[in-house]
Formats: sequence, C-alpha cells, structure tokens
Amino acid sequence: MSASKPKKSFKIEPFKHKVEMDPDYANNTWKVLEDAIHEIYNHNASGLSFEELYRSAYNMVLHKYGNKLYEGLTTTMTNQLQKVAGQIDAAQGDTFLEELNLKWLDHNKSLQMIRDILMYMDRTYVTNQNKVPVHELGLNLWRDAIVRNGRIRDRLLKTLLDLVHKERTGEVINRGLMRNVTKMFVDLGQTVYLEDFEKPFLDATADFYKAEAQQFISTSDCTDYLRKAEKRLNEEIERVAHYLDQKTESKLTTVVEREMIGNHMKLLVEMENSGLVSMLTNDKYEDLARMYNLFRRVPTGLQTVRDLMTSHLRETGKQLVTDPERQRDPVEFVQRLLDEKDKYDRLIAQSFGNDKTFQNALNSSFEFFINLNTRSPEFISLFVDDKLKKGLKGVSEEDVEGVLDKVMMLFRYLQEKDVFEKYYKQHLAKRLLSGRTVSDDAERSLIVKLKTECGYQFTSKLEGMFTDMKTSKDTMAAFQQKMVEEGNDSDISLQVQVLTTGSWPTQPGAKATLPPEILEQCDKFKNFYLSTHTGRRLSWQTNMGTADLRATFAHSRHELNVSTYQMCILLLFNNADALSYQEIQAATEIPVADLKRNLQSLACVKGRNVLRKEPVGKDVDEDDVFHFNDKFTNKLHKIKIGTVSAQKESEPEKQETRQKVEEDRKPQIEAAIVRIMKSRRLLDHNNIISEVTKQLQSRFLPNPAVIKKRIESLIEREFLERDKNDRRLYRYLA
Amino acid sequence: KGGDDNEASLTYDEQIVEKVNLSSKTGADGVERKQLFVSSAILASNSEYFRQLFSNGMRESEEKELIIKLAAKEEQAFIDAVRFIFCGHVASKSALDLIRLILVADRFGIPSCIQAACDAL
Repeated sequence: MSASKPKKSFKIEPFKHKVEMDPDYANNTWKVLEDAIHEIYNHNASGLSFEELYRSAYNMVLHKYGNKLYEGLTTTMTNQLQKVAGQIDAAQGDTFLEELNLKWLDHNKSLQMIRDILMYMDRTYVTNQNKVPVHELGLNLWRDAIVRNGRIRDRLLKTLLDLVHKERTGEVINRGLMRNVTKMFVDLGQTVYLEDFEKPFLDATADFYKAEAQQFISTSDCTDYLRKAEKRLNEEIERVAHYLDQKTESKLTTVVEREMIGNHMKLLVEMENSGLVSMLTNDKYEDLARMYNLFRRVPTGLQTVRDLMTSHLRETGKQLVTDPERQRDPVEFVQRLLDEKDKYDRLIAQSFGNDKTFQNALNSSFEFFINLNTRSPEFISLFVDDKLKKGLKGVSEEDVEGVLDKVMMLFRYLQEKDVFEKYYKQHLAKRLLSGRTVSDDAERSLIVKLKTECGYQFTSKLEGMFTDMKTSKDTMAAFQQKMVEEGNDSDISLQVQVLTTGSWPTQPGAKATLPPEILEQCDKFKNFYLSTHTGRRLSWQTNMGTADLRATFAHSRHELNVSTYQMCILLLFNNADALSYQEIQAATEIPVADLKRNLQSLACVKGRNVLRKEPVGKDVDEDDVFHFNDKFTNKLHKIKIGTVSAQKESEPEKQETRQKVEEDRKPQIEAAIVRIMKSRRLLDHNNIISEVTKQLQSRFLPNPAVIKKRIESLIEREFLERDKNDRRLYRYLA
Repeated sequence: KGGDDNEASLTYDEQIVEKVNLSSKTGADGVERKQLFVSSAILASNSEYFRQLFSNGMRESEEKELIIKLAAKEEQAFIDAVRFIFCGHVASKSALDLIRLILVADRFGIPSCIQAACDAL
C-alpha cells in the first residue's frame, strides 16, 4: 500500500427503494433540495451532504420528476434573486456598487454548488429536453432580476459612467470594483455587455470628448492639441486594460479618434502658425510624427495631411523655380532644390515612417514644379558642370557619388530629358576640350547612371566623346614622335583632338582663318592623320580650341591663355599696333557674334585688357578701333582670358537650342509612330497619341499637336493612310 | 442485501494503482457496510461526481470517510466501476451486470466506463 496519495474510504450502504410508491416522494425530495438551495444562499453549504443531495436529484430525474425539479429550481432561484435585488436596491450611495458586486460573487459561488448537485439533471434532463443548463439559467435569472431590474438598471449604468467620468477628470476610483462589475456584464453574455454597458458607455465617451475637443481647440495651438489628444488616447487604452473588455479597445479608440481628430482634421492641419505648414517649415519632427500617428488612425486622416503637404510643397516649389531672382545663379537654384528635397526626405523618414504614399506625394510635387520652369534641364546640367569643374575637389569618392545620385534624382523628375541631354553634351564637350574636368571617374560614373536610367541610346554619343579624347591622345603622341624624327621642330606646339562628327555638338558655321604659322602645323597634322586614316575628312573646329601665348608688354611679360579666336585676333597685332573692327573681321573671318564677344573679353575686362578700344565703352561696335595695350600690367605671370559669355544661355541661344531639340524630336516621334502602326496596323487618332506619349515618356513629353503634324507628314510620304470610312482611323501601309 | 463473494473478486494485479482494500461488516440496523480504500485523486480525475464531491465545499469535502448509499443491486456494479477506474478493464461478464454497470457509471459520471461497458456489451 502506498501512502503517497490522499485516501478516502467509502462505506457502501444498500439502499432500499421503499419510497418508490410514496405519492409524496417527489414533493418531499424536492423539499430537501429546495431547503438546501436556501441554505447554500445563506452560506451554510458546509453542513449539507453532497452525496445526499446529488442522490436526491438523481432519483427525481430517474423517476421522471426532472420537470418538477427544473421548474422548482427556476422558481426558487427567481425568488431568491428578487430578495437579493431588494437588498442591492436598498444600498445607499457608494455602497451600491460594492453591494452589487458582493451579491454577484455570492450568486456565482452558490450557482456553482447548485449546478454540482444538479449535475445529473444537467447531463440528462436538460440535454434531452433542450432546456437551458443550470449555470446559464442562473446567469439569465440574475440578468433579468438584477441587471435589467427597473430599479437597478439605470442606477447601475449611471454609477459606472459617473465613475469613468470621475477618472477622466482626474479623480482616483476603485478600478478593481469596476473591473469586477464589467466582468459581470461579460459573463452574462456578449449581448448584455454590448447593450447594457458598452453602447451607453461609448455614447458617453463621445459626448465627453466632443465637448473636450471643442474646448481644447479654442484654447490650444495644434502642437498642444495633438499632445493632449495623444495623452487622452493612451489613457483610454490603459482604461481598457484596467477594467474593460479587450474587444472594447478598438471601438473606444475609434470614438476618441473620431471626436478628437476626425471631426477637426481640417481645422487642425490648417491652424495658423502651428498647423502642418508651420511644422513643415520649422522642421518640427516630433510634432509631425505625432500628427502622423494620430491622423493615420482616422479614415482619410493621412490623406488630409498628405494633400496639404502636397499643396504646400507645390506652392513653395513653384515660388522657388519661378522666382526670377533665383534664376540668376543656376548652381544656387539647383542647390536649393536639392536642399528642399533633402529636407523632405529627412522629414518623411523621421516623422512619417518612410510612408510610401508620402514619398510618392513628394516625388509628384517635385516633378510638378521642376517642370514648371523650362530652364530646369539646363540648370541641372550647369549644376553638374559646376560640380565636375570645381565643386568636387577634395571631396571623397562616396560624397561624389552622393552628389551625383542626387542630381540623378532631379534628372528623373524632368519631363524633357532630351533637353537635358542637349545641354549636358555641350557642357561635357567644353569640359573635355578645355581639360577642366576634375575627375574622370566622376564623369564616367554619371554617364553610367544616365545609361542605367535611360538606356544605351541616351549615352552612346556621350561615351563616344570620351573615346575620341582617348584616341586623340594616342594620335598626338604618334604625331609628335614623328615630328621629332623628321626634325620638324617648331616654336608652335599643336594639340589636336579628333572629334567624331555627330558625337559632339558642333556649330556648322564656326570657321576662321588661322594665322599662317598655325596653318602650316595644321596641314602637317592633316597629312599625318590622313596617311593613317584614308578616306576621312578633317575640318577644323576653331570655336572650341584654346591657345597659350607669350606676350611682351612695356613693363612685363606674360603668358596668356586664350581661345583660338582670341589667338587669331592677337596674332594680328604682331604686325600692327592698331586695327579697326572691320579689318579684324576681314582678316580672321570669325562669325560676328563670336568676334564681338572675344574682342569684348580682350578689351573691356579690367585686368585682362591686353587690347585698348576706341572709343572706350562696354560693348563692341562695328566702327571701333583696337590698339595693342602696351601699358598692360598684372601681378600674375599666367593670365587666363575667358570668353565673355553668360554661364547660362542668352535668350537667342536658348531659342536656338529649343529649336534644335524640336528638330531632333521629329524623327523620334515619327519612328515611334511607325513602330506602333507597324505592329497595330489600324489605330485611331487618340490611341496613337497616347501610345506615342507612353513610348517617348522616358525622354520627353511630346506635344499632341506635334504628333499630329508628324502623322500628317507620314501620310504625305505614304507610310500611313486614313481609313476611307472612318477618318479618325489610320492604316499602316507596308 | 449485499453481494456475497465480492471479496475474492477484488484482487488487483496492477502495480501502478494501490490495492483497494474492501472490508465488510453488517451493522446493528441490518444495513451492510462495505469499506473501500481508494485514491481520491484518481477517482476525481475520472468522474465528475467524485471531483465535485471532494471539492465543492459541502460536508464531504472536509471528511476522510465518505458514505455513499447504494441500492443492493447497484453494489456489485459500483465496485466494478471503481475497479474499472483503477484497472481500466471491465470485469463484469453477464449482460445484466454490464447494464447495471452502465447505469452506475451514468449516475456517477464516468463516461469512459460507460463507453467500455457498451463495447463489452
């Protein structure tokens, strides 16, 4: 025998069924049970015998008195609870809730015992007759007799809501008691909790916060208001944890969010001096994060924030790009755009949790206002030019990449990418030919980025330019070696870059008569080059070159770094002290605009005026006379004489570039139309326009009117024809 | 009155359960009393009735010796039911015994025993 387990001993006594015939059997047995139920409610259960009571109930059910038992139980419990209701109702003031809770706990305990002794009835009679089980019956009776009692119901609700209100206004309440009572509602069933407590509770909550929001909004600024709302929201969430059913949380927060935020969204974000715009302007990360977190909880909340941010961004962006002051300095202009982008990137990352929809709003806003200014492509290219010429000196490789990436980001916003390409080509050509590019790696890195963004086609010519530069270097080395071998040494050292036609931006009319001593060298190179590359043609692009000259003045000697045109002009003064404008033009044949500009930089810039102009003046006229300025002095030995030219294009140049771009677009549009029609065969006008626009989107935004003209031109050239029945339809002619 | 040969039938060969001792004596009132020593935990875990009997706070929860009143014809079936709880197999053979066993198991809320007895039937 093991002693490890608790042991009880039974006595088995035979039981005589002599009472079976007794007509009062059922009544007597029920009487025993009824008395027991009263005893249980009177806390005297420890004197009762479970065995006896269970056996009594068992026998009643066994002898078909189940119904009597069940009905008796219902009646007895109902009477009992009515008595309890009276006691609860009699409780005064604060003791009311405590009394109710006490009686509820009592009832639960008693019900448990009653259920145990009637277990057999629960298992057989109740199941067979589809009756409500004892436990549930007890809860239903409590619900009807107590919770929905006419004298208790409203009082109970009011007491509970008062307590919540007290806590909301800062008083300390008995949370444990609250918890028990709300738990009672839950135990009585979801519908009881929902209808008898939760619904009125939520209504009271709505009223409370409606009033509070009204009051806050008239006394607080946006920052303050949001802080208060956040605090309230957290309090309510805590409240649920302390004494409400977990399922209430979402409903409760929805009510608070609606009353505190949802109903006042517009008012809040648009608050003057403290609303969204003020937060954005003053980098209030914390406040913005709070706003984001609160507004995301209400429907259309984030949309409200996003819409206002977008319109603010567009407005400020528009001011930025259309302000004529800003356009004076393209580098500064682009830098401002980048700064603005950085600011909002940081803001969205820190306050808006990198929300994709906000990033999209930011991007679309930038795209919107950058393209408001038709000069944006030019300015961005100028910014790159500036960075690659000097801005990146002493900057680490990673930082260079950073700058280039940012430029690419702006580039992506451009609708007229082909315009950017045009300018970029011009600026790159200047950088390469004047040897002013700081970092070859950076140049190439940007080309790679452009290639990934726009494809091979976009950058092939740019890459061609780099190849030309490299080939030229080799060619020059070979040429110079040959010159030395042939003993053909000259005072003049010639550097030639052979540029592939088409890859480089060339001005067709740019021509000048080179001085004979230069021409001689040029011819030597020409012969050398054509001897190895038969069948090619060389023509001299005098507008792109530079020259280093040694010049002797009355007081000093200087080395002058000038353009090829300027060299041509200055060499004339080796044989003359004074020349008129007309004479210079006749001798050099430099195009008028270039000549004027170069003369201006030689004669009119202080510290660089190696020529003297008569009459003195800022601009060059066709009757001016130029003298060699013998008295020229400068502290520096080496002097670079730049060409007077605005960094950005002048108005006529801009027009010219524009026209070139438009010309270049024509074949691209035509090619797109033909590609589309070739595959579709038959298509109506609107569809062609939209397909063409889609195909060319990555390069530029074609104008529908221009597309229409191209279609007409293609019809004329019999690539397409109009359908005979429907004039809106076009047919592809193979 | 009570059965006459139940002493012999209550020999347990299982080692994991304690031996159930059964002693019998007839009192002055002519009612036969038989005493079983069993583990309450094992009874409670198999029967809803015994679970509540031992714990629901009425008189029996405090007592060491519990009295259960049975009709004479229930006696053997009750012992068989207790034995089923401890040994896990049904000892009753005749159909009548099995039916009585089912009735007792039903009264004391031992569903596993009802199932086993029905299977044996």
